[in-house]
Amino acid sequence: MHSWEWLPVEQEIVRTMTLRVRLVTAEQVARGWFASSDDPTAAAQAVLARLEQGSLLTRRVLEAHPILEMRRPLVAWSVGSPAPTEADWDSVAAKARSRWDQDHVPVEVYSATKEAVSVCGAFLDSRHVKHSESTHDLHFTEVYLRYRHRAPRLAARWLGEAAFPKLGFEIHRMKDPDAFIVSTGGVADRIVEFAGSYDAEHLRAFHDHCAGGATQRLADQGWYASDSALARLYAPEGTGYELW
Amino acid sequence: MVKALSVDDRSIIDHVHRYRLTLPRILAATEIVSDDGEDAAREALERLKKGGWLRSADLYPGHRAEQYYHLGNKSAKLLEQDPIVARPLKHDMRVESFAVATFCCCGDQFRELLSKEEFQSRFQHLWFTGQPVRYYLEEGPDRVVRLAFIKVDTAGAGRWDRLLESCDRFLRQRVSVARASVEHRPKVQEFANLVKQNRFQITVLTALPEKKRAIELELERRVVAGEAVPPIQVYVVPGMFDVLFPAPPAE
Repeated sequence: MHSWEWLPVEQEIVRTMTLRVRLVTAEQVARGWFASSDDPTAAAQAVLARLEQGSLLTRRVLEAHPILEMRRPLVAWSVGSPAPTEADWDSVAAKARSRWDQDHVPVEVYSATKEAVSVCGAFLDSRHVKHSESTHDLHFTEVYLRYRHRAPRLAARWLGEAAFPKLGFEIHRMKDPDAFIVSTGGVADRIVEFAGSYDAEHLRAFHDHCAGGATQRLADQGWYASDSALARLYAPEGTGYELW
Repeated sequence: MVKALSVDDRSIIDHVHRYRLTLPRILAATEIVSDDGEDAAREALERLKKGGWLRSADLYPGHRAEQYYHLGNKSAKLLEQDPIVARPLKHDMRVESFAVATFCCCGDQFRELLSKEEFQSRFQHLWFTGQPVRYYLEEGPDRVVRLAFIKVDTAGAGRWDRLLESCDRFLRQRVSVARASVEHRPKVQEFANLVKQNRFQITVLTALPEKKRAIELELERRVVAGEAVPPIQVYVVPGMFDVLFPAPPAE
């Protein structure tokens, strides 16, 4: 290994921060990548400092809800299962909202620089993250870290919203989910969304999107007449999802 | 010390002039020293450097271990070039030259970048003054040989899709017959014919496979959206990421 080359773990963190998640704390990096180190915190801080020095990550302070432990999704739906009922959505919405019961606190976060976004070809620029989005983004990172720890093969196929052109700009009422677990054939096996405090209507709309709505919208706009990888992403029969 | 230039030495200087820089591994991939390997290439480059024909500088600033070679004052004079070519390359030019030289000399096929003089003489019907010259001939999987123009993705801080807009602008300037001045119109018509016959491509050199995928996705999106899509082929250049973003030197 040459002195000018980045360590594999450093390269992975840059790819993660550009194409999988948008924000991370040093504590999350310590837990996610250096849990087996003698001093995970020191190891994480050393790597983050190098990536910042190398113009690949940038650091700032945002206000966010203290990070909650993400144990299981609020809803996990698979193709062929019955759709949740109205009562189910009301209950999930209430559960989602009730999670946020603490005051927001300042938290030091890292995100990809514009240069890192450009070199990796991310379609979103995380430098524009607002205080109001930081709670969502840090908890979404928690979900990714849980996958990375418990289902590393699925985590390796995780592509965040930034890995795709924003179809919401192109197609009326098209959603851009937070992440896709994509098969080698380019079809999404699963969609992962962090629900934050979505209301019942938002949750239902998300279900409709995954359960065939996205396919219908793409077909209506002529995407299936092209050989675009974006059209392949959504299976015609729908795509299973997890709402966290 | 080099007293007189041998044929091989002159070929090395021409190679450095063509690509603006070289490395032992790049030179070793060419026909000039291909049988002799990287050590022989390094030896030849060092010999020419000692003779004042070439100079070297850090490929990765702050990391002295890897040097690139560029023209020296003596070779600039020999080639009747502005002495400015004997200065170390600035960041963007260093990245672009590394990418072009690596792509042309170390890729799946050898591609010789055309010098300005070669382009002028072989494509007289396309040539007009003031245009950037970074052309080569690319043989596609369909065995068709196309004139290709190289654009290097230097991953600046701006929106990266502007790279595609710049490709689109490049093409429009060369094929819009009605917009061309009367003097340039025949050349623009020739270029437009070349594009129409699918005998022209823009080769985008980028650092990571993720970026290649993103550019291709964006091109697909533009096709479906009915937007202008220039004939772009994207290639990943090994080692380019480290030249763009070298890891910080150890303290």
